Amino acid sequence: MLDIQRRKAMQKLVLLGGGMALFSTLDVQAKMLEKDVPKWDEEYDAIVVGSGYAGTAAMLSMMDKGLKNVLMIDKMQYMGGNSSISGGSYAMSRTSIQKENGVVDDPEMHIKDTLKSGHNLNNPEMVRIMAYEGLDAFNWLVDNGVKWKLFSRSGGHSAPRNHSVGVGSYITMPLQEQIIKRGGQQRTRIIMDELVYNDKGIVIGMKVREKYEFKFDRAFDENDNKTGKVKYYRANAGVVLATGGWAADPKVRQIFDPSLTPNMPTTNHYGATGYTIQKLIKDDVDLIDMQYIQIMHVTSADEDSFGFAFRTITSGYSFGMMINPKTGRRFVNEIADRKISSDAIFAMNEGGKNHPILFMDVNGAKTVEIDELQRGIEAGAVYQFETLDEMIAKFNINKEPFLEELKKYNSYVKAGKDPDFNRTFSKYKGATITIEQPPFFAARPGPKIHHCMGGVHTTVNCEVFNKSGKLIEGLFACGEVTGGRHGYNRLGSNSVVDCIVFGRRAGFAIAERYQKMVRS
Amino acid sequence: MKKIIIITALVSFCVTLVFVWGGIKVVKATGDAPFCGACHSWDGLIAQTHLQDPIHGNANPKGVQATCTECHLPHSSLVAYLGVKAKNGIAEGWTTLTGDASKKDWLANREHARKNYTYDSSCLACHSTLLDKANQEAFKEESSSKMHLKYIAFQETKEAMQCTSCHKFVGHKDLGETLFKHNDTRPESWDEWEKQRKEKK
Amino acid sequence: MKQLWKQLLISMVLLGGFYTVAMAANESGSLSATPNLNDKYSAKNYPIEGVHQKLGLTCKECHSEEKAEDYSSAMKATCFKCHENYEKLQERTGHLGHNNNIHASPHFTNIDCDLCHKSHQPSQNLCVQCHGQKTMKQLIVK
Repeated sequence: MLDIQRRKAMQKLVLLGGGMALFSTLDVQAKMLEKDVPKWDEEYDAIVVGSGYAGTAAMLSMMDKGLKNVLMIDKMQYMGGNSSISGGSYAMSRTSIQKENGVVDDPEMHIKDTLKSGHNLNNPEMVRIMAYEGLDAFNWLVDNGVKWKLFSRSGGHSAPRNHSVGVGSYITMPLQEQIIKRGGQQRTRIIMDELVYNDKGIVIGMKVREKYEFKFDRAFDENDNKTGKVKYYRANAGVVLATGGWAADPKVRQIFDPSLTPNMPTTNHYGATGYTIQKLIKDDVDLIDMQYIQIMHVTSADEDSFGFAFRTITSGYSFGMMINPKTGRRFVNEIADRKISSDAIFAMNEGGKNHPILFMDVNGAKTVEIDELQRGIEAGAVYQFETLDEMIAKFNINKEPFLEELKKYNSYVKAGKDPDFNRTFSKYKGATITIEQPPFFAARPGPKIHHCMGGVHTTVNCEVFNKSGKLIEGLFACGEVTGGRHGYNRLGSNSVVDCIVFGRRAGFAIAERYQKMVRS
Repeated sequence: MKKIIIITALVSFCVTLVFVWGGIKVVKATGDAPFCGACHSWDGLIAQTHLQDPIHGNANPKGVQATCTECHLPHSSLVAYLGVKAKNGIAEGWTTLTGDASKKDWLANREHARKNYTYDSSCLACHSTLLDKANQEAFKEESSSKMHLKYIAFQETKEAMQCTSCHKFVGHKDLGETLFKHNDTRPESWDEWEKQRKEKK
Repeated sequence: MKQLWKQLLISMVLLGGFYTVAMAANESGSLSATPNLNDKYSAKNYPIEGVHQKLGLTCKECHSEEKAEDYSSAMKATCFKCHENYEKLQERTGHLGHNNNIHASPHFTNIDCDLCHKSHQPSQNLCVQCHGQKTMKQLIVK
């Protein structure tokens, strides 16, 4: 009797043991631990993953605080990711450029605009930090070789406070030149596969693949990309994650917002996949606001990705008028934020069959740099018409109501009030601009998936929370990969501020951690 | 009789001296920018790219430079040199007087010019030890030696290459960009844009 | 009792096997953008075309890694042994004009050559992914 019972018990135990072992093998991609590392191939004091605005700012800032043996990696064959192709525009009040242009502005207005667009879902302390500390960061950029070129007003901002360098790489490149000059290392084609934790749960390094070959195919799942050679890098004071967003990843973005179908266009470069964010989920990192992914309407439907018409369209929203060609009438406040405007455009563009027409006259067009305008024309995204009739014919605009609407619009501009949509009219060199003088310049805005407001949950010093609300020591995050700064919707030009301000904070935080470790 | 022979010989000697000395002077003077550029007034722009070239042109910091004919006429022999010079001189004189330089697509012409108006013998006239170097033990591992050995191997075959098959941009700095910019009539400022519009009307 | 130990042994062996397979699958290998082949790294499976072929270049003249299975196309330094540097490349494509000079991107400097130029696969144009003007679309990447 006892024999059979014992037998049965043993069998049960074996099955149970086997079952438990099996269960853990199913989750082979659980956190990687120090004991699993065969040997460390390289050792650094800190490693930054991602080389855009945030990563670069974090890297240079930790070097500012004295760290020397530091590395910044990027999985792509080029540095800078989305930052390099973005507009490079920084929203800030109280700058000398604002003063030169006679603009009255202050951080409280900036905060108000940001919270309004974010539907008050933003972390108010973080917004306050961006609006106030952002001026110091602005000047820090100038000290490191960044040159501001253009000054304008972006949708959702109550005052002109957008300072642009021309293109984002004109911010990342001068900073990266500084990094190299001062002995920091930056390398392409290295992808982080796993963070490595010690037995106390502290991040002490990472598993990477060198000579990684990114595949430029939006339908290809990056998890299937097995190129590269595995190496292990130790990071003594820890890791700063600045891996950006996932707007270009058709699978991952749909998990969080099912309306973002695979065939929807995006402004993002191919590298903006959900590869890292998926790893972070598996590593028990806390994410917030993941369902808020922004669609931007400052790009042309006649061009792929970010394209060339962007600056003309931005000016168009400030100095021109947008209509539905079928009705001939306006349908939204042109200078509203991206969420309001994109939603309005989606509501009328019949899935791409009825694009809106945004147009200005020659005085509005002159607010755009001529080579930018010409590039837009060369790309077939900006149109020039000698007469309104030409434009009406080309886009099949409903003539009578359109001409009536145009008359109304011009009267609103002259009166300084828009009773239809509450638009505030921007000034150029002290005066508002009507649409009266030919030739006329038009574009067809087409919203594209652009920015992930949500992401890693961090403190104001970029320390990362796990799902149980505890901080993961040795792990920092900044830039688009984080969440909480922008809430429901991000204002244009606030992202660069977020990345630089919090990139610096991450750099300072990890430097401080390193100094503490060295002293103890 | 003797007197006549001696005088004839002396006179002939002097005349020859004058002609040869003068001839050399003429050949030299007609071989450099000021002369070439006088007719080649449109490719004066092209000549300018040569002036800016920091290796074979006037912008060379050490002062070493090649004149137009040092590259654009063969140096395999004096006969070849003078013969091609004469031939080109006549042909180009004719086209300059009868043709319109501004109508020619100089950008597309670069390949034709490279093939027909550059000569390996002129490169080798200065870079004379290049091909020997390729064969030497000490320089065997350099990529340039390996490539030059291929060049030697291909000589006289249908795969034969010219120096300019690989060294395409010798002597004229930013030639492609300069020619493109010249062809590009788009305005560079709003004022220019206004001016162009007025002129069109 | 003996039966039980036998069972235990068998299940442990099976489990061990499963673990090994799982671990191996988790570890990523080296360059494998192409499928498995026998005598993988022969010239037949990785042919070279164009001028590189005319000049009779061999694997070792571009790939600097020791073992063939470690060969990667990430070899900017080797490309520059003949193709000098980015300034020269910019000059070479200067005739395309500012908007189409793919070697003078305002966005990215020092891009790895093999992003666009591939010897054993079709080449691709990076810039045209965002900038689709006709003149860019017509560019042929060698």
